[in-house]
Amino acid sequence: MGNLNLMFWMMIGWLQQNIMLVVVVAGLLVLAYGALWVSKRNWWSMGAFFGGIVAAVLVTAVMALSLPALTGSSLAQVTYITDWVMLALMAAGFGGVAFIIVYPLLVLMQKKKA
Amino acid sequence: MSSHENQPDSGRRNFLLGSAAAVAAMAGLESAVADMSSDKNVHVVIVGSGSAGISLANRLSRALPNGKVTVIDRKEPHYYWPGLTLVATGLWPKDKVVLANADFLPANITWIKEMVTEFDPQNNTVVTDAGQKVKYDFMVVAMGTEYNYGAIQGMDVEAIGANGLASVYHSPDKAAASWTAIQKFVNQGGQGIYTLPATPIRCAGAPLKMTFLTLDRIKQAGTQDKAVIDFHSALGIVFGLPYFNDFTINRWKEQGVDTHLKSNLKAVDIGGRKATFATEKGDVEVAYDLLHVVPPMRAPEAVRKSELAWKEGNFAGGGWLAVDKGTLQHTDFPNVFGCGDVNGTPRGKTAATVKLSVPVVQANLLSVIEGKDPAVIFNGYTSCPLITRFGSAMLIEFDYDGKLTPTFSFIDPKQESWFAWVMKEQMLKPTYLEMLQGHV
Repeated sequence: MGNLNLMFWMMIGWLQQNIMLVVVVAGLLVLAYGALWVSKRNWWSMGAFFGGIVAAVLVTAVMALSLPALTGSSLAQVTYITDWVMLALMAAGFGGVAFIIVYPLLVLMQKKKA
Repeated sequence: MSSHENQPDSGRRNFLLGSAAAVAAMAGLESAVADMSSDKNVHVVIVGSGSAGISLANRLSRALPNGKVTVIDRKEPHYYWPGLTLVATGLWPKDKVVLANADFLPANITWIKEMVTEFDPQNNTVVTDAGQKVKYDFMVVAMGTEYNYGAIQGMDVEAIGANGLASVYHSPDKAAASWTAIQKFVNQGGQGIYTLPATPIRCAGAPLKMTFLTLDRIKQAGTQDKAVIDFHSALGIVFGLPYFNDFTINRWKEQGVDTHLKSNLKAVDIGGRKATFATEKGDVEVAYDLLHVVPPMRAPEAVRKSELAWKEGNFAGGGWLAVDKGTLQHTDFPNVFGCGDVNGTPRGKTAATVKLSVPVVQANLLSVIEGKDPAVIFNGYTSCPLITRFGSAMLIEFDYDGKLTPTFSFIDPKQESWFAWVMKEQMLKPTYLEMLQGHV
């Protein structure tokens, strides 16, 4: 429980330090899902789901390659299993955020059924 | 005396924090210690507003709803000390490590912006430099450490940054000035000298990190053929744990660094750029182009000259606070506790030490307030993210016995790692700020 508590507050602290990123993502989510709600479209779309997955995979791949450099390190310094696992998890986190932003936009881009 | 009014932080940050606290409480993530409290009407004085003092002020202000908490310290800026090595090696701007105490001290405490100059534990009183006498029922001494640059003959802190003189420890300003001197050395080359004193020091890994990162800067600049570094340790080692001591010395050897053990910086001729070391073979004078000075450290004068200091043993020389290393309770005055650098306990202290010792002090202080014996034992936990180059670090965590105690079992302390670097560079400051607020 102590470690969970530490990880929880560590993440909250990180979000506070990166508050602009949090605000931008939250703003995008409000806009995207607000627009989807106003459009009165069906929220479920298989096409948009797969489109979102593609976007998430792309963002995950890009972040996996660029996160070490973005953190002042390099891919060559990602040296052992914990590094690789954590890099994959962090990149996947960005991919997940990309999915929930892109999905409503893809739904909105689809033709409205009569 | 001034009553402290908390500076309102950004509304968004406060909302996030409030929401986080609610989620944590609902999820049961708050620790058992955080839930401890006492309804006794007592006055607790915290002397010092460093990381330990502020963290305790936040915790005790919540744990003593009917009590009074007073913090005594004139300092208004708050330095994020773990970031100074990154400032002094050109990675972080100085502003990133300068915070304000007012942003972290809780609103419902009293903040006396004076310095304690005298302790009178027989009468439960402290005296400030303004002559004010403050009585207490219980006291936590968290005054930190005193940099004794004066013990090095000829040393002048005002000269840091010029004439090849550097010292990461003094302050963010001097850390930034040190980068100016180090940068010049990296580009022009010459003889660099890094030092380690014989006394207990704050963050014992910092002198090693400074050496490793300067070596990396030299590599980046491509001046390996012009720049040479020697490391002088006043001790017989450079790090307290044998594995990491040997790792460091061997790695430095591969990088062309000569390590001189039992070689204590005794004097410096700043204008002449000469350093004198006391060695087993007598005094040795060395010319340098860059000298990185780590000052000998001791307890602040008010503690050193008081009844609260150790009178015998290893910690008497520096006048460190006489506390039980397990309970952190004073050895003679049971209503007094110590926390942080000022404690005369084994092993070097870091912000991580504070992180784990603050809840121990809180729990044991509350027990004593309730008339019970202190029961929680501190294991001496400390942590050193040993940066071996930009982008890689080893996350070393250990206890009084030198036993490795990794917080996260999936991080191998003996492995140079990108993730350990991310923890140091990205995650430790947010964790530190949460610790100040008494969350971690």
